Amino acid sequence: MTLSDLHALLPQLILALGATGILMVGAWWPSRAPWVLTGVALSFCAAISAGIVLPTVTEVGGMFGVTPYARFFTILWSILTGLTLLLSLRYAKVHRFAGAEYTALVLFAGAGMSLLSAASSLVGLFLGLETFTLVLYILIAFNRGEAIGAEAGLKYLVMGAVATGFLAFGIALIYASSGSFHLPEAMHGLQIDGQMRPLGLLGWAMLLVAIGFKVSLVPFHLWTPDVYQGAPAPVTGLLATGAKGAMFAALIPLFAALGTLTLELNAVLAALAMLSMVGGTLAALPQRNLKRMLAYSSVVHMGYLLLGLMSGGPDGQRAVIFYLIVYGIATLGAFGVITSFAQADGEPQDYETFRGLGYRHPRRCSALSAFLLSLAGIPPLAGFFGKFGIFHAALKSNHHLLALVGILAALVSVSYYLRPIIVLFMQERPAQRLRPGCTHEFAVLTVCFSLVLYLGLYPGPLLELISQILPSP
Amino acid sequence: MNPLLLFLIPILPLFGGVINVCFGSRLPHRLVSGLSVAAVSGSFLLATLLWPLGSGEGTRVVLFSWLKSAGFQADVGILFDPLAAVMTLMVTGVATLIHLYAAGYMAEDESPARFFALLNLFVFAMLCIVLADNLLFLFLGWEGVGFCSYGLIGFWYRNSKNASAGRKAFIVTRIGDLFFAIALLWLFSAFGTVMIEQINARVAELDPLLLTGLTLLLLGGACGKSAQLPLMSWLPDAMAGPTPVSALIHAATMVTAGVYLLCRMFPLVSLSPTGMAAIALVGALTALYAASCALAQREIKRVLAYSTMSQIGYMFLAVGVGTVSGAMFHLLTHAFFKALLFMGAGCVIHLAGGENDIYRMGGLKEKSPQVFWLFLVGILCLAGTPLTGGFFSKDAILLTAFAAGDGFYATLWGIGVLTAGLTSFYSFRLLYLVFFGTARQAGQGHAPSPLMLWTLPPLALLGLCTGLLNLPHLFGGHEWLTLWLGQPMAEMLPVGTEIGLLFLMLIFFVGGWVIAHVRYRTFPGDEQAGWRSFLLSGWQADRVYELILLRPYRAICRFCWQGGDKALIDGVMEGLARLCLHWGDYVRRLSNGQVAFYLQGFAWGLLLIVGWFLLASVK
Repeated sequence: MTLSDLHALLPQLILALGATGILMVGAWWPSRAPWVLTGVALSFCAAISAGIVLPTVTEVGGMFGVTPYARFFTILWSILTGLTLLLSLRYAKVHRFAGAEYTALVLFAGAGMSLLSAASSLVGLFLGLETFTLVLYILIAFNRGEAIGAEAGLKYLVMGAVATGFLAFGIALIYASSGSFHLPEAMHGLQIDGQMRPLGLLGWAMLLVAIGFKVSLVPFHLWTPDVYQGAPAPVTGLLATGAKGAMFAALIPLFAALGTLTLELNAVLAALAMLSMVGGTLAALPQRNLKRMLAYSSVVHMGYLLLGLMSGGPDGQRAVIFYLIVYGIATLGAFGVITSFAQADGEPQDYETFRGLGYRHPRRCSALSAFLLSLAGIPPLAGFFGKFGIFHAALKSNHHLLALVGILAALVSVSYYLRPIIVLFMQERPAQRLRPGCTHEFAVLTVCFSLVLYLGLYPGPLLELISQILPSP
Repeated sequence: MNPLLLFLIPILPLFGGVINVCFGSRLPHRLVSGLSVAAVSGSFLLATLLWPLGSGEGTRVVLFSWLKSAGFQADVGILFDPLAAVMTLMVTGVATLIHLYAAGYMAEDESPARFFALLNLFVFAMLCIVLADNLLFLFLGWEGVGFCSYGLIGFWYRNSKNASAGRKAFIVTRIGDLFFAIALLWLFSAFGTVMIEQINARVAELDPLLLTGLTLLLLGGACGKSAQLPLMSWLPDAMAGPTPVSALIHAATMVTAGVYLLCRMFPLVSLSPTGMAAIALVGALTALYAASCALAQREIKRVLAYSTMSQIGYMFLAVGVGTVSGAMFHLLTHAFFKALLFMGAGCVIHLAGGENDIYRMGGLKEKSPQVFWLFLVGILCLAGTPLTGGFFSKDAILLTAFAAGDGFYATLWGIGVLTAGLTSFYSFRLLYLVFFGTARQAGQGHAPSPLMLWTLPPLALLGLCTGLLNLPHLFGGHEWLTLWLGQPMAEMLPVGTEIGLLFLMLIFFVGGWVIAHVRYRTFPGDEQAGWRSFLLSGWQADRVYELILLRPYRAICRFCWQGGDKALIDGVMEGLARLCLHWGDYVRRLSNGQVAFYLQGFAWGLLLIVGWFLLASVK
């Protein structure tokens, strides 16, 4: 590892080394808010350094790329980490989290996500993925006092361990088949007479199971509602946005490297996408718990993203990345609102506790409604263009049936997104007051809200930026 | 004079209306009415000053292009030609007097701002119709008139009868608007322009059949606004509005819009013999129908409403027999005496203590001689008493109809003469029942305010003397209006025939008067015989419409609503929703919290994927 390699990895090093430093110093100097704020500062430092420090190499150790694409996602996940920490400041205080440990873990997660998005080999992919998955095991159960949190953490651990097994096995089979970990070669090596080697096919089957678990596609989604419900709200936000987004960011070059071989996977991918869209939608309909509803809705969103991924080409890739960002902002915002309402004895989740809350806390409830409407894809909010891009790409690449199912799912989704809004605003009953928000939370929510609105009105600049950073095929 | 000043004519009332809409509720009552009167009288003054611009070919000015896209252009432009000039002067003049009258009439009302704002906007919309140089701009005014009439007829909306009268006026005239809108689009597709001048200049290019279709469509539109058969049923109900509104609708605006439209498009209309015959026929039949209905009406304002309908019928007849000047002449005289009659009727109602029924009035002559004399002038004009304005204008129309010659027009002429007799009868019946005999009203009336009373004499004077405007050669005149409008002189009938016809008219007039005199000189008691109630209800027109239009319509609506929307669409939708929820519940229960079960999901998923790959590679 040369100096230029380290220079190229500077953002990730800031995150990881900063986390280590916080962990070590925190052992002698236990404190909360200063550490969390240090974490926020470190995240933004990482984002800025990823933006302005130009690397001299294009790849580090044959595992992680330092392309504009990787840098873009490094910035994105660093900012996400920073916003999550900012959001957690008060939550951590209320729940008496150990500040240094919590901050360090979230920073590690950020580093892992940015490494995963930058992975240019299967080993790098495995490392990046496991880095933040391991961290998430702890973070989900961070609220040690609550049984439901511990249960969620345990479930995620058991399932995650199995999925990791599948992932490792799948990578091993692909290596055995193609003789390389490095991405373009590993995928090109799978090819024989224009078809995929059987061993490679088996490897991909294993890989798909692991991916299906990580991004919660039906039928590997069953853990999602339990974990979403049990985890602390800011952690759920991170899990729902960054963890899944980083996985998709890694999948885009993976599928691009696969080239025409994708056709052999298409039937299975289509089945997964269709099952996710239909199953998630149906299961979200009867929900009466906001976090569980968002869990199922994320299953549907992952179905859309898979559809975009299958569509391929610059159009599909651009649509997927745009959708990821838009979905991430709205989801982070929604969990942010839940976080800001959280009290020491728990978070408001049931619709019953939200009843008439719109009249008590109009600003936060309006923001929550905007996030939900954006998730539903209602113009002029950002979600509309996200969905539009995905379905447009799908129709252009002749996935008519899937696009139709997706559009129908989006139609039905309005029903379950509107229900909490109706509960918030349309049923007047003196709601009990929840916790008043504080400045940092409002800052994060304002950022999310403005972005949801801005990207809905002017999606052009971001789409342009995405077109520029797309990995060259 | 700067032609752009012409735009101030419609803009002043618009401005007054907008100010009253925005701030009127915070201004004192007097300021609200004052502002509105000032706005309209301002346009009247302007119209007088700018009169010379209208001579000859007229003046065309464009303020800006309103809509402009490939091949289509509509300007906010004014065509101030002789026809528009005459009409503008009349509309602004009469409207000014009516506004003044309204300032007195509505002095006690709760929401003067709404009233005067609508009144001003009404005049603005009418001026748009009159001045527009293209049909789209005209249509804007056309719809504006419809909307304002809706707001004004239903002005006292707390009484649901008034509100539904407003609704009826809006909907029935809207049916006519539909025809006009189709004609507009059709004209655009035929000529590629909506400019009135260009269309009129190029009508000869059109296929005769198409021309007839267009004429009939325009007639349909005109019928709606001018309350002609078969779209006449809204006019009697429109009496629900305050009296100044009735005066405005009947004299200066709204009902004359249809006649004006046909005059404006006369070069087009006149090329279709079938269309002309249809216009004449509609006019003559409406004149007769409305006059017959007026015979038995009990409410003073409804008598006047039917008389308006009947007089507008004459104007249609005039257009149909090809004399625009005749139609405009009658329009002018009618505007003056009808405004006079309505405003007089308002005074009468005040005198009679809010009583509307002429059978409950009587003896008002002693109570207020001033009102009697002024009202008498109106009645004389309406009845067509020789040497009043109404006589000359009506006579000119009938003479032209007679001169047209063939059997069809001769029949229409006959209908017109008969109607003249009926008109004379019901006019004097009204006069006798209201002013003569014994006082029968229950309430104690009060004298009308000076503001109300002193707006009437100018109208009475105009009504009596407008005949001079277009005095026929027989009486030593020079038909000034015809010259001004640039219309061809009427064919000269032999002097003997003309005098003979005049005598015939005189006989019918005197006959109607004598019968009314004999029957109503003293109060004959309530009359409610069978034929009277038939006429009272306007030949049961509402019931006929109810039977042939509304009932089938409601049945269709009910079918679409109950059968289509509720049963079919809602049923399918709710069924689907219930199905989704049911399945959703099932899928939801898969997340049962058992890790072992979740792992099974992994296993099944893997099995399916590997199985599929196996199958695919075996193939």
